[in-house]
Amino acid sequence: MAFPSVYEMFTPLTTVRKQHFWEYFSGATLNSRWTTTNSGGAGTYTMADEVDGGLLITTPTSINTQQNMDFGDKRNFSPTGSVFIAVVKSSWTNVYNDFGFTNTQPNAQSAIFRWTSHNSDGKIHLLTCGSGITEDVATSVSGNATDWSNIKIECKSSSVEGSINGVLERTHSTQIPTNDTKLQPYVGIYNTVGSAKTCQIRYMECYNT
Amino acid sequence: MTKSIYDQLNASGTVAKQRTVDTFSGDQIDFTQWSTSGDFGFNLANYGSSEFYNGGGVILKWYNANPVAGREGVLAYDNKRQFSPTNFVWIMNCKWTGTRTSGVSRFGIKRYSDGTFNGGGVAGATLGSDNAKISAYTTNETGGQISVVASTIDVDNVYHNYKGARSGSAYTLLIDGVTSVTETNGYLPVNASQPFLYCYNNDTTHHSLNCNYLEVYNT
Repeated sequence: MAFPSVYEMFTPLTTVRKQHFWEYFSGATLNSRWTTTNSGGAGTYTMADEVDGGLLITTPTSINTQQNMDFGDKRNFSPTGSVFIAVVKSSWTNVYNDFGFTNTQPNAQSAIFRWTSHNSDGKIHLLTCGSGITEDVATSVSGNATDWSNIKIECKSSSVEGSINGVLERTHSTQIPTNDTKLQPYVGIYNTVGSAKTCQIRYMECYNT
Repeated sequence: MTKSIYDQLNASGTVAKQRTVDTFSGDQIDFTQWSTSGDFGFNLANYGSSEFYNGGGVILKWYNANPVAGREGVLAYDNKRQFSPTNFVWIMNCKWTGTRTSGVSRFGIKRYSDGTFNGGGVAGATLGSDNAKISAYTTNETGGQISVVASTIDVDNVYHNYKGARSGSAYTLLIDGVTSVTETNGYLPVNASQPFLYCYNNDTTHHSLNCNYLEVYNT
């Protein structure tokens, strides 16, 4: 079916569409819409010169460093009616690597998927956070350093749903972002070892429902 | 009705491959995304104004009233090559303006972000002095292996939709969704590629290339 417009692919003209953005992470450098932040050492945010490589974030080679990217606290997305979709890959071992929505950071008003080898279950976790209270629960999907994954986080009026590769993995109904907050997309990688760690992202889409 | 672009383009549960889309709208070209190379008198369109977007989408055109023969300009992705040389689709809406003696414009995907074409790993289209017909333009990454295969459509000065696609050994250029031409010499890229738009001056008269839509993806 051919659509007359991108708008009408998703929304009839009788409906005023809400905030919606998407990013392909392709081109010479990272688009200026993103704010990048380094803590403990300078990492790099470069377009991968690699087929299907997307954006490559690389940490410094020192321990306890953190690289984040978000919208510089321009928070357009609802905690009770929004969707985050991304295609990502993480080096997994000796990192805390987060992808999803936050208000400011993962441990306060957030809904993210976390890649880390530090959880003994070896699984990717869905982590949600309300007013300082965090729920962190494993999915059924094992984490590793080689697989690209499609992740989807849907913030609903009274729950947060997390899907990986089209399968609904977790539904959190408590300790979720509260309706007095606002959200922005977030990617963060924390290095827990003294060697460079990486993550990659080649697609992201966020919208309010 | 699905609400996400992702679900419109990918089957449920599919991990999408690399894609890029540019509608070339706005105040200026996005230089976080695009790199320039060559004698970039081409980067300023409309006779010395600072407009990149003029006449519809982005335009590559010599910057003042006095084009210099032998000069060229390229827009590309600064050698960030995320697209497969063997399984890709590129789609562009382009318009060439000029007479065939004035120069040549090519677009599609290629290995290098500079003006390298001979041995440059190109899978594109060409308008202008390469051929009187709109033609598929491909090269291997070995010098001298250049293939220009003509369609049945004369080079003109109006917008056409172009789609270049390769799956395995064959490269096909589809024009306006109807007329297709298949590369037959086997001179095709072998390494990863990036999108590009290119102009070259044969003489001191103006020619230009407009593009108001670009999409490239791996299949």
